[in-house]
Amino acid sequence: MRIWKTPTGWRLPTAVNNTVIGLLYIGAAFLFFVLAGILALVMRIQLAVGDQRIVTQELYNQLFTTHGTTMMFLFAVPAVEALGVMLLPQMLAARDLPFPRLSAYAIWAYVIGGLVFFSTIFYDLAPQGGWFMYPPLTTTQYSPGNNADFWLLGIGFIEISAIAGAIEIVVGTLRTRPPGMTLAKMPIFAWSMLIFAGMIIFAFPAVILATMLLELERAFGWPFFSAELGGDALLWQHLFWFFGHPEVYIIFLPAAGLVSMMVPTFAQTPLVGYRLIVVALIATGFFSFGLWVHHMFTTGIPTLSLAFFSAASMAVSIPSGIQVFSWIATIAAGRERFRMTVPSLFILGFLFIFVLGGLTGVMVAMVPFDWQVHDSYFIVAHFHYVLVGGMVFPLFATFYYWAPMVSSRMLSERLGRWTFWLMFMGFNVTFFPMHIVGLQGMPRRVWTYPSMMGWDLLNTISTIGAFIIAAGVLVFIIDLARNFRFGQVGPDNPWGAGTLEWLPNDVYSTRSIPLVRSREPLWDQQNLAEEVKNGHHFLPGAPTGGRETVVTTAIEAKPQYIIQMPGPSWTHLFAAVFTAAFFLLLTIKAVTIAITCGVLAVASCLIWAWQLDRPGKGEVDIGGDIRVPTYITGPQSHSWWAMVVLMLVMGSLFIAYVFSYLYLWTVSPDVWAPDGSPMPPHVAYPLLSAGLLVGGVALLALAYRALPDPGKRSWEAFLLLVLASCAMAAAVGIEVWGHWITGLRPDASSYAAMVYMAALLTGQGALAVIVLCLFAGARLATRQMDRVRRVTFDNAFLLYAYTAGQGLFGLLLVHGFPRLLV
Amino acid sequence: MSLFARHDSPVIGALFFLLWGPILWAGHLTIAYGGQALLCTLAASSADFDAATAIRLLIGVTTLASGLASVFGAVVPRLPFRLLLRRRPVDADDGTLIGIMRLLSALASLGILFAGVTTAVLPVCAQGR
Repeated sequence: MRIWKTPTGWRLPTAVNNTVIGLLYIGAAFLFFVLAGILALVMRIQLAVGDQRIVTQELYNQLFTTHGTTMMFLFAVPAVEALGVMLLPQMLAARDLPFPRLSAYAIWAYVIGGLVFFSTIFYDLAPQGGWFMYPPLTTTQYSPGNNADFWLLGIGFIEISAIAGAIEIVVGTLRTRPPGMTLAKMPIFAWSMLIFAGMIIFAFPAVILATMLLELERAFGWPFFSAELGGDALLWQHLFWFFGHPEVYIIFLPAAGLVSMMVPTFAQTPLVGYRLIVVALIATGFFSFGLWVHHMFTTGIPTLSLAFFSAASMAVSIPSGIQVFSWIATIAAGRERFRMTVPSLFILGFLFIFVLGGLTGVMVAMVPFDWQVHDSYFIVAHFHYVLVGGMVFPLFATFYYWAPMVSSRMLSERLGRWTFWLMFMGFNVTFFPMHIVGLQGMPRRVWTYPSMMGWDLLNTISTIGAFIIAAGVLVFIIDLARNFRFGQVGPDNPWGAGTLEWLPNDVYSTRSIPLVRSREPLWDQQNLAEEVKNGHHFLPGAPTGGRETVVTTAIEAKPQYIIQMPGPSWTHLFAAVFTAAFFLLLTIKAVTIAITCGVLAVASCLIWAWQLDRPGKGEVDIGGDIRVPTYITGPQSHSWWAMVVLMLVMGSLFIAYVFSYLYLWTVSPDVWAPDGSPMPPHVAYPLLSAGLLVGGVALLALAYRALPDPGKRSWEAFLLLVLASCAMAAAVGIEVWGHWITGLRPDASSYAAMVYMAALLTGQGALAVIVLCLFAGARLATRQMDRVRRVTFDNAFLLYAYTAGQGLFGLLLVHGFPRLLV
Repeated sequence: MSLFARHDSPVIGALFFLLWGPILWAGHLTIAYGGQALLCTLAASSADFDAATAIRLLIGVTTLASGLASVFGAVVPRLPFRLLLRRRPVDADDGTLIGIMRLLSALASLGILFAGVTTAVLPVCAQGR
């Protein structure tokens, strides 16, 4: 208990327990929901009748941009990620997620970055380009000033925080399940969070690349999106929607996972079609990556391409439908009548609204219909039905359902019913008329409209509805405030649920980690709660004397080793503050202070990392006559897994770059390279660069052999690490120098910008590799790394090999294509 | 009785097994969409190049190959199971994995077919407006 104690007073921000930072995370996300909702109310007042002049056009543009951006980036994704951080360890009966400080870092970075971004609305600094920020509207020519930069740097940075959370969730779900909880016995919410995190890993890098390209164009004139220099504004749309469409399902899938957890409880029967639901989650996740062009049906793309994406858009409705039917079947198959509680009301509300949104989704998946309603209020109605129905209603059901687990007190049934009915009625009153006004021709993102258009009445109704929703949210806030003071203290498992989060738990999760034999262990294993509470299952004590949990194999969930986890610290907090400062100060062009903050952020991360990789304490008994090691390296180690996931993120970013390179070539092959461009550098330059990359990997392989025995020091391995770092730096430097001396400049054409971008992306990875190699060298020099205790070395080696591979591919692309083709 | 299964499944193998159909579907969409864009670009710069035949051939062959592979996964899942997980299915958990894989493959086959047939009915490089 003492080991897991939450810091109090001024040390509270150093806490890393998932129960504490998860609450901060969900609290911050809800705050952003309320703030963005207030902006929506201002917009609705402005649109209540025609010819209004309450806000200016510029402010209105800032309002809808900040509303959309906040709802999507600062509320929806963080809210579901927060639920993952808070609920997953409890559902998996893990002591915590495997990288508690990484979670805490991601959360603090998001809170700080999010608040600064949102505050721009008060200083006339908010962006005006809509939540998808299309160029050329957002290039410096049409969006001068820093407003757009706040979006580009702020959101790019917040996405990095989301990726950090996704890495945590992937490794946590696959490696910290309780013994016996095989993949086939995993709770549906864990499946949905696994797919959610996988989608973040593959989708978010595309928009990170897009924001990098647009910021480079705005700050330094690299013309990726300027048609006159060979660029194409549609490249942004491709990159943005490759992220943006999966984003809808990134938000929806965890919410669907939550519904799949609640419905069986209220029906008191196992979920009907567990396999079908898993199929639906995976299929939706996959298909969602094949839909991005359906946001671009009106941009003039070849008809055949539209057909591919129209087909995929309709296909995705099949798995969504499977889930809906499965929930209905579970309700129908219940051992007793479906209990009508507040969470059930929100679930039924979700089903009604989401199905309507899905139906209009199939309508807009048809190209001719989409052409008619594109950029009209019909689309605004459609996506609010999908997003609010698909995510906000399940979220409120979640609040009511899991509140007793978090605070041991129930929320009020009476106030909850008021909240539901106000929100349900308000929602439909607000958004249903928008379908009609959209079909009547009202375009979205207009700050006012002439009264003679006949749109006034429907808009007035929508505005009234918006205030009814607000009243519902207000009642919920009152209920929440009451809960923590007067709420009724409930039993450990007030709903009679079957999953592990309802075991008696504390800051360390459960007293012992149960052996799981079914999907609803609390229903199927009699006396499990009592046995767990009495410490009769795994890891009842703390054999290493610190924070720890059991790591199990990814498929069969066999106990593998004990992970020693770090406790509270200031380092991740400072790292988050300085990272946020770095990005935000860059936005206002305070370059010197920004770089200082960047260095301080890296220093904080290094101090944080220095405290990890503690030596093992031999094999320990975890119960059930099972002894496991307390330190492990190589492909079985959780840190290896995290590094592999990070490499997948970097790989996705690079694939998005390769797509961009080839895309611009297909758009303007005649200017690839433009007339008058210098000849490419002599082939010796890329060959030398490639040689250095391969040589660096060979040096690290030698360093691996030279790692010393425990307690010893190896200057040979140290020297090889330093040499490998130099080789990596030289490889990137030679590639850039080779192009520079030919006279090619990145601002000359989109071709030139893409050529330098390959080196920039490899250089970014190279910088991380060099820091990691030097860090490993420092640990080697201080006898904290050897051939047994070598997690840091393994990570450096993995990242080095990946970066070298990416560098080689980049060289082949830039020097070989299209030269070798034509 | 042992508390845990005797076997250890390779993670990458299990991942590829589960995602057999969706991976084929993703490959099909990439080749169809990317191939069409590439061939249309080449056709625009060369009057002699018959883009329509090339695209129909490419997408037709890809649809046939990936569609058959996906249907194969749905109909005979035990073979890819043994190939990728390097053991025979033994328990109910394996049955669940196989069930998920079969349904995903069946869905993916539909997706592949749905996208593939469009080539037969639509012009290959004409702009959408």
